[in-house]
Amino acid sequence: MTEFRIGVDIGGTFTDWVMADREGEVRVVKTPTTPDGFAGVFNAMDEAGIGGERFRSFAHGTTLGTNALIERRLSRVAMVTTKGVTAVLTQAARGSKEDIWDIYHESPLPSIVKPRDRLEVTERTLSSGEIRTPLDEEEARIVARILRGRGIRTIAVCFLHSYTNGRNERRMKEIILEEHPEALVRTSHETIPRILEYERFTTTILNVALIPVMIDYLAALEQGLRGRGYDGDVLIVQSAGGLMGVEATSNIPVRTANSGPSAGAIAAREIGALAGFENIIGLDIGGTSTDVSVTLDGQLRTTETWEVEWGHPIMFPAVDIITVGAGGGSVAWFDPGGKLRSGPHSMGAVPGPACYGRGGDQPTNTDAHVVLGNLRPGAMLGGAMEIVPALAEKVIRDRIGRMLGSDTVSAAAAVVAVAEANMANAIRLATMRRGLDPRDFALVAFGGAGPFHGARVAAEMSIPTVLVPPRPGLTSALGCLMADIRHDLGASMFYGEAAAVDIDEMNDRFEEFDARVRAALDREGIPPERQSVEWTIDMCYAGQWRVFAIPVTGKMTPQSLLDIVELFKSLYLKRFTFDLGEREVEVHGIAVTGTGISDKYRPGAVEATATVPAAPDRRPVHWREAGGWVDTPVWSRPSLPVGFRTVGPAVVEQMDSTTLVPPGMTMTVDRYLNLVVDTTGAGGGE
Amino acid sequence: MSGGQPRPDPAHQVDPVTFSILSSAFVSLVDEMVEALRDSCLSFVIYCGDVSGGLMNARGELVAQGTRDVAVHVGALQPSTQSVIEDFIDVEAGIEEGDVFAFNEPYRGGTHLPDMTFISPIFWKDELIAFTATKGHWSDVGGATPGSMNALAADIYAEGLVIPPLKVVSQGVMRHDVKNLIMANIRIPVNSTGDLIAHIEAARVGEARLHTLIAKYGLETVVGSMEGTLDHSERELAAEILRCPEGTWETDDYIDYDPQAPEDGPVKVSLKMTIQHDPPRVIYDMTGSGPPVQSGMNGTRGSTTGALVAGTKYIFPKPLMNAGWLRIIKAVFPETSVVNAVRPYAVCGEVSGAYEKTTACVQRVWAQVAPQRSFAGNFNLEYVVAGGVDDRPGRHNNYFVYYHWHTGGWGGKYGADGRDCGAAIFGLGILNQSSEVIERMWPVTFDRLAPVTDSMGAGKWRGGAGLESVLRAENAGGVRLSYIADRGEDGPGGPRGLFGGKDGIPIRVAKNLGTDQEEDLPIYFADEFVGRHGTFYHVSSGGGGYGDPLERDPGAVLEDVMDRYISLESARNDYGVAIEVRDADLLDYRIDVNATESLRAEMRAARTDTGEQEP
Repeated sequence: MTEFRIGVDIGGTFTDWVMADREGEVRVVKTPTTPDGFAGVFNAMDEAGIGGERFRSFAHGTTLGTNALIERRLSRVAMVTTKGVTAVLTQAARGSKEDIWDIYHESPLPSIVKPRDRLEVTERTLSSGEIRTPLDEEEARIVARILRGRGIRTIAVCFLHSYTNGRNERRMKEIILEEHPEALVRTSHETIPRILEYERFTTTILNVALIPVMIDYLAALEQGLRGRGYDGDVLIVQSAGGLMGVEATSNIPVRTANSGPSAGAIAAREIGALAGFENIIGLDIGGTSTDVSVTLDGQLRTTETWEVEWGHPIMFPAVDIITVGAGGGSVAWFDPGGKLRSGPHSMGAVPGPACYGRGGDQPTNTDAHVVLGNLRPGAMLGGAMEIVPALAEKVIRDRIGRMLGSDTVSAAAAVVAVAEANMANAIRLATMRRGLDPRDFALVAFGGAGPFHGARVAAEMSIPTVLVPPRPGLTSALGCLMADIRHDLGASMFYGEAAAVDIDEMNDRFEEFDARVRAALDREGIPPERQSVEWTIDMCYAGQWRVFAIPVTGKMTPQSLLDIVELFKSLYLKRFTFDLGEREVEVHGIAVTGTGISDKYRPGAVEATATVPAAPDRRPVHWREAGGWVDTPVWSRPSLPVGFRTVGPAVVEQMDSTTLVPPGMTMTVDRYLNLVVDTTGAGGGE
Repeated sequence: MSGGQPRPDPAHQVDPVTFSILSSAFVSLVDEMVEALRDSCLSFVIYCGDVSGGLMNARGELVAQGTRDVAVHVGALQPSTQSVIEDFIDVEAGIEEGDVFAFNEPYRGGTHLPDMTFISPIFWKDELIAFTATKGHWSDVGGATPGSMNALAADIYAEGLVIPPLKVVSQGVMRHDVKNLIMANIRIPVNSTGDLIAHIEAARVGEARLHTLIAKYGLETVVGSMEGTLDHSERELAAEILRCPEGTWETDDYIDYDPQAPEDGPVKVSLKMTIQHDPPRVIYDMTGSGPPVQSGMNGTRGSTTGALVAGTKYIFPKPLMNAGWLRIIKAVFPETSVVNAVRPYAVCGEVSGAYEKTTACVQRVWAQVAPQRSFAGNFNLEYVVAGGVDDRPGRHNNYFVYYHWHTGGWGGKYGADGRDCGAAIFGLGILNQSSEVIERMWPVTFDRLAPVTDSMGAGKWRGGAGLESVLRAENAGGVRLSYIADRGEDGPGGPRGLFGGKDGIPIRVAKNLGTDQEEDLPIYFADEFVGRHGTFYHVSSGGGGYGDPLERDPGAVLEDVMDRYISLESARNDYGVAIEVRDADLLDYRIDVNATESLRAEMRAARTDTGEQEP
């Protein structure tokens, strides 16, 4: 009997294991994360007590790749590059800087390839694809032997313009492998055949550096699962929001670098979709950060390039997640001009907020919530943590109230308001900055602290509806169960004007990518009827570099090309108010995305019952909307039945999270047990 | 119309939380405008970030800048907007809702002519509330040379089209005759028309965003917060200044020479800084600076004030920079000089000339007050501008203008080496143009693009590496090159070291290097023909060193040798570190500890001039 779908999310502190059975019932295990990652997974599996032979699927989100990159726990990597053109990595982040004014703020950090390991070889390919200088094979062999002599086994081959003709890179790779058979070699054109040398080379280097890390990890994970009776696929969540198997991940591990947050974004999309929303903002608030994702017309918004850290781009599609340093542990402080600020510095889990009594001496959002009565004093997380209100009051009074010249409660309200402004700003960046109107969206609030802030931040941004899923703290693990398989390929292909497109050449490339994507889906056991493949062309007006991806339906013809140009123009006009009219439209590249509709978990609907919820506790809670303390009902979430309805102010408590419903907002429980908050009543009362 | 008049001060009526929210919203409003401009512009240089934006109050005072804006633009948007107010506020139908004004006049707040500024009033219920502006470097604005960067122009008229406050959009409607006049005077009107539209687009974004804020928070609150933002920035900077000692410090720097009068020698830029506490002030006195030069290396009062303010921002990076700073920072100018030239002196190369020297002076003068915040000298900004006919297949022999800025080395700083091959101090938000993109867009290829060994000044913390490049014309006809830089081989020297650190190398430029047509070029030139397959060679400076090189850890010196930052000779001669090479390919090197000790002892003993001492 293979009845359980397994989703596992390895976070910084806990490994979350969720199991969904055929009826959609979910069981949860939380274990401490282990340094190697997989031991914690097996601990959770042992604790769950279900043998692998009963698993239908196993999907996994991990920050292993991100952490290895950020902490530079990587083996030594060398690069072989075009002779004379060695400044590409030296001009880190293309000469730019994260904080443009603070010279002492060292970001970007240097490339993981040291200058001494950037070796040159004579060759030159031009932008037209013409090979001006074939690879100098004698030099290539000398370089390969030097690499072998230095004991470097991880090697990126990065030549100029290889995206348009990879012949020299391919030959270089062959020669390295002949001279140095133990080497792991990746070329830039096979990694990502797109223009922009800094971005392509960086992607290639980060990818090849991650391969040894991920291969070892995935092999250990797969082997452990096999030993425990599971013989199905092990799937990994990609940054782009789909799943990939072990083989594909081992080849392009850099695509999974933002695995964890993108699993959360998938869950937000699916939870919103079930509740009937096509446009969803995911608001994931943890201890240190707020991650905002956007789903538009049912599709997660993705970006073409994602940065693992500032100035180190990864040139693969990734869920477009805006991260700001605003979470439960974020510290409130005053700048030299006396303005109250919040984050990005966080007290993290240790020592944590002052109210944890573990030596934290800085005022955090969590401390402010305690002062305001939002967070119940005493035990939390099933007794794992103790909240001491006196410590929260002291730190807010001493560090904030005195500076503001206000009482402790007003000071705490100000701390929360400033943090919420940062969260709202993240939503503004994710929506308005991309030409989207937040009023057209529903907001899914999750992560441990999301339900605290979701309704207020939504009201600030005029978002009418907020959904709080049943297990806000486990949403990322659930997201692993809700993703489809995804493979995509893209390439730069330049045509100065659409009329100059070589339609046969483009069709050939589309068909090649289409076949490769379908083959990858085949290997992962997706039957043809569950494969869907989309083609897009990157277009812009001549001279522009910000491209739009325009969908292509089927094989291109001269007429369909004209239609695509018209479609581009209408999309452009939708984004910008001015029509550039007769200006030429250029083609910059193509992409093919293959989706394998997987056997996803969908929460089951619950029938409305006549159950009466347990009578709420009451406690005084400070609501800034009401201008002060209000004796507020505090509901226990597990007791709230489908169809339950109340009007704020109200507090809803559960083991891993607390939902705030400000005065005047209506909250109902839908048939998926989401709390649904209507923010449009805010301020007006009822 | 109530614009232009000071309002009663409602700042204190805004609660601190709303104020905090709105002051961030003002910055993100500007970022949104700039992003809209970068998204829809047709100039690659604007897309790569030679751009800035601002939100001004109804008096034209700068309230907020964008987070990644170009430093050289920061002082300019306020006087530019005030020029619009001056010319139009008392005119019938002068400033109306939906208007957009073009502007680039250097002496009234512009920078150089290619920096086109578009200023737009924002109204709320018929009341003028604010202005927005975006500024982008257009690829060409006419004048004698392609790209409008004519180093040898003797006056502004040879540099390009001068645009005083000029209404191009009236109440939301483009004035086509005005637009056509501009486009008739510039080389690639089809691109510039697209850029003009992008600037208008950005103005619409800013207006919509401010209207949203007013609808939500109310007019009084938004206007009060704009005023409060200025007060807040003033307080922030004042708090920093009160932590510095009172006193007066001096320094100077030099433009290599006046290209029209090289025999007169280097042209001085002089800076005396006074810090006082009551009231808190930083007074920058430029008296003693040399006379205006007869070429485009001059600065204007507006751009030099921008250099003083931006230079100060590098010392105090955290406070929000706006007009509130101008209540603390005061500039004193001589009657007319190279840093405050007046019409008709040329200014196109000011950022390489007077602006760069002024920021360098600010760093050096602050090094004496705050040695752990300042840094040694940086590479000098260079402009490479070429124009010609693109003869590549499918390019229709179109006229092209190529504009490129190089990267170079930054100065060493307290506790760390300088940045390698970074963008120039005039704008760190700028991305260097990808060479793959350059080779696709223009008929050129790079034969070389590499960091340069021994280009930086030695120091306890050395400068970052400079960059060497060889650019080749490919299938191009009639290519003419203009070039503007400073700190070249014929001048007083490269970027200066600090506290015993050595100077970086000066810039060298040449054409057809290594052929029988090889020719060294001066540090400023215009209209130089390079030939169908000619090459342009350039090496940018590395940064100056910080602190005594003999105090650098020998292990770090060895790392630098392995990474080709420095040669074995420099390790020995500049750092007193003796390194034995066993196998360079396998990176097998050894430090000869005894030889290093005795070498360093000898070098210390041989010093007659101890120079500046590290504090």
